[in-house]
Amino acid sequence: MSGATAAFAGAAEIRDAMARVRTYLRDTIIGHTLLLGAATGVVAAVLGHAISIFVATALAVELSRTQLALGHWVLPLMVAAAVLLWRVFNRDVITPVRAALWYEERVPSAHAVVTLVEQSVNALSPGVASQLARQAAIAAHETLPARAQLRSARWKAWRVPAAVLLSAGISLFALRSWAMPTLQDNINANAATSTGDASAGASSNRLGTWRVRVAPPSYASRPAQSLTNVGSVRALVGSRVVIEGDGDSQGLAATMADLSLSVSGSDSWQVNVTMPNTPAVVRVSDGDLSRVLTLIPQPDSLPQVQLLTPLRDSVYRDTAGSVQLSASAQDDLGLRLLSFEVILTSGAGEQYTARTITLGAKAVNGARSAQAVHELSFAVLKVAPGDVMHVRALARDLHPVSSREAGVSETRSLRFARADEYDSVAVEAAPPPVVDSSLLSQRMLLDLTEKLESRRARIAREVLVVESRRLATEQARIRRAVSAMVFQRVTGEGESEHVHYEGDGHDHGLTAQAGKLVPGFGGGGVSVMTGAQATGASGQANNNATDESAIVAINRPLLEAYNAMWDAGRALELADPREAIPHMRLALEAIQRARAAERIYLRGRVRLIVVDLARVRLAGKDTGQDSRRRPGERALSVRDVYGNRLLRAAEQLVIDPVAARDSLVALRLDALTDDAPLSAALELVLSALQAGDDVTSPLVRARRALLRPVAGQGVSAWSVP
Amino acid sequence: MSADRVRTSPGDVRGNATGALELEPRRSPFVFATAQYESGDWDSAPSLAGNIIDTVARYTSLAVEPQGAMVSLSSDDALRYPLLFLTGHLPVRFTSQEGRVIQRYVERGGLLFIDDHNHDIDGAFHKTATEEIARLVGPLQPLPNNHVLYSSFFTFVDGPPTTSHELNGWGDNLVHEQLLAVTRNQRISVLYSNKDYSSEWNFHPDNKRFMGVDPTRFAVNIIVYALTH
Repeated sequence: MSGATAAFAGAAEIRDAMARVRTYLRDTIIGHTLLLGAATGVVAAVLGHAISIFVATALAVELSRTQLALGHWVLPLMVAAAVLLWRVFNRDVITPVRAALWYEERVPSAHAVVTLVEQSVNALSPGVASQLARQAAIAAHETLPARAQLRSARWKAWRVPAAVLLSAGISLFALRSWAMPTLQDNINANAATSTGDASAGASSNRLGTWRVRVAPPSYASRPAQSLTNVGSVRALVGSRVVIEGDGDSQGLAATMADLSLSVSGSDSWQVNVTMPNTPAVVRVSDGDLSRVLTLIPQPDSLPQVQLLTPLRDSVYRDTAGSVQLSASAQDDLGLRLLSFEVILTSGAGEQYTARTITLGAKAVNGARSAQAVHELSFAVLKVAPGDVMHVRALARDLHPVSSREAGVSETRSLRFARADEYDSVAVEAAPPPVVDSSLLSQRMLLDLTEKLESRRARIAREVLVVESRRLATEQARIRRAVSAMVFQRVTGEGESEHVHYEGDGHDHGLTAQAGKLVPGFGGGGVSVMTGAQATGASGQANNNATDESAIVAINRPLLEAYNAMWDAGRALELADPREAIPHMRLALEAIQRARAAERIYLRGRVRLIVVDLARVRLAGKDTGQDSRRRPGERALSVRDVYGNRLLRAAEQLVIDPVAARDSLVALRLDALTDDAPLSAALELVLSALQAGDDVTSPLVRARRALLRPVAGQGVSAWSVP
Repeated sequence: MSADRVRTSPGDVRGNATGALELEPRRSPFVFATAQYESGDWDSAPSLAGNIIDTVARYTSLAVEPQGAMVSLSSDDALRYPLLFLTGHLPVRFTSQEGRVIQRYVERGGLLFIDDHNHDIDGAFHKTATEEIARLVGPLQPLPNNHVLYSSFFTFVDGPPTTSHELNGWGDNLVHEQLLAVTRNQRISVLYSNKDYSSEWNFHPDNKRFMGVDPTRFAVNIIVYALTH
């Protein structure tokens, strides 16, 4: 082998060795970067834990779980990521030359290595290459592979971050093992408040750790709960809440809304409270320390009840029959009973009696939903015409208190019409009679007419006329049926299609015009309001009830149907089904509208009084002379007259005793009939006069007899002065 | 009492002929409103409204509509009236819509005056009406007989005036000493009477000339209270 060849072989060996050095150095740097990132993150986590513990304990600031997660995990991870990114963007790129330089720095004798790595052997002169190869061989022989230097370099690079990582990890473990439970307790306890000692969570504090047992009411069938170091309890109203802690109860005090609670126990203390209806705070105090437990009540909701049938208010013409009641109910805890309540009110005017009946009670053994059905027979309740029945469903839940309110449904009013109401109000029609299958309905008649119209171009004129007139006959029959219904419902007259004319003395508000019935001259019936009018669909006070008669108001849709049928029948008679079809559709629509008519109130139009305000306020239209009146003198009463006569007689005694005596005698006689005490007193005066005695005293007695209080004839009903 | 001291209806902002906005509140006359409800005979005292309007006109200078209104409790129109009068003999069960309107009505400052037309202690109307009010608004409590209601216009030293249906002689000697009320923010929201004012006041106003003392004077107190509190 020549010198040059040997030099080339040595250079290749050197380069391979430098490649391995380079790889080693690169791995060392990557490991250093990772260690540095991890150490920084753990250190940040330790700081986060320490700060949160300090804030929660020393500063007694309540930290949420989100805040804790942010300080303990999110921020450290972000710090670690930031360090890693910084190192990645500022990394040392290890090139073969840098690896050779690094090596040469540590092995000075291998100075030829850099040149060999940096320069291509081919670019060197053979002499230089040979000399470099010899030096490299010596260096390689002496130093390659320099594993000691490499290991030393790696150790130097890794030891600091590894140490930091290790120590920070230990610290973090210690914090999470020992300090964090205390912090968590404090957080759960909503930060124990301490007025004296800030270390409320210290082990010496009897309030530091407490246990709360919650026993829901037995009827709720819910399991009991045991909670540790909670600051608030959410439980059903009436639940038994027991707060327990370690230590003697001596010196402990507990209050709830200014109410002192008993604290009992020797080895461990205990406070018993019942979950109130409204949120409350239980404060347990131990000297300067105190801790609170917030009681958050969960109300037991009332059952939700829906009355399924009857679906809406109804008016019954007859008190015979029955109605099906059905209802459903739901409850949050469980139902105990589902029933129907019926209030049956009888009477009129100012005399009403009411009975409350509970029907169809169904026991529900704690199910959260239930349904009940009951057939209510009117005969059983002895319903009479004029009665009003209010029906609703009631559901009781499992709550054991007897005064517990029941869940109720909407109320339906069922009214039973009196016979004398039939002529003034509409009542729900009786069930339809059995339909004669041979008869055609208006809908079917319309179908046949439309078919006839479609066949019109294909059939002969004679056939069209025959079939059209047959349909006209059917149309007339239905029209008469509608007419009969209108008149029979309102007037009781069975005959249909009879109308009256002005002045014939028999008016129910309809006149005949070209065969049709139109609201006419009468209006003799009692005006009524439909449900929409009475309740004010637009909310306006219904002061605008129309003046049309009952027969018109109630049967307006049927009258429209009647008149449309009249037009349709006339067109069919003329063999013009095309002309008849629109009228037949109008008639059908009107009939359907009549079927869906709202209920009618069983009462007449409310009488409205319009007050003449000017008259009431004496501010009328008269503008003449002042006509103010002066109050007259009060008329004298009998006693006043007697008093005056007695006074005059007394005065006359000095002037003319005889005349005075006569006056007194006359006065006594008058008083005998209507003032016996005065008469008796005057008798004494006359006796004294007769005897010549002093009459002063008897006169005073007579005067007093006049002034004595007298019972009136009774207290007026409006006796307020 | 001066009419301009009295709130008769909420003011509004209107445009005048020149297009400018008038910010002065509109003073609508007081309208005596009778509440309609689905379940009972709300119209059992048809002459009462005219009689009370006559009384208001006779004793006060309030601007008053000469004719009363009937308003459905199912309609938000009920909210337009500061005082609603409700009476009846039959059981009262408000529908859901009626209940919502009543709750909104009292929340917005209306006064619902309920009178039991039966004049009894525990009749169907009384039981159901008080139940419904307790459910919707709150429990009814006895109103002290020295409440400002009894001196808001006329002075009734002994509380609510008795009615002929109570006094022994004409009535059944069943005197209800106090009215009941639900108060909100120290203001009466629901006033409830067992005294049967519906019968007492249900006569044509022309008949007042036969009476020594007008029995409807207490209605003025209720109206003035509703308009000024």
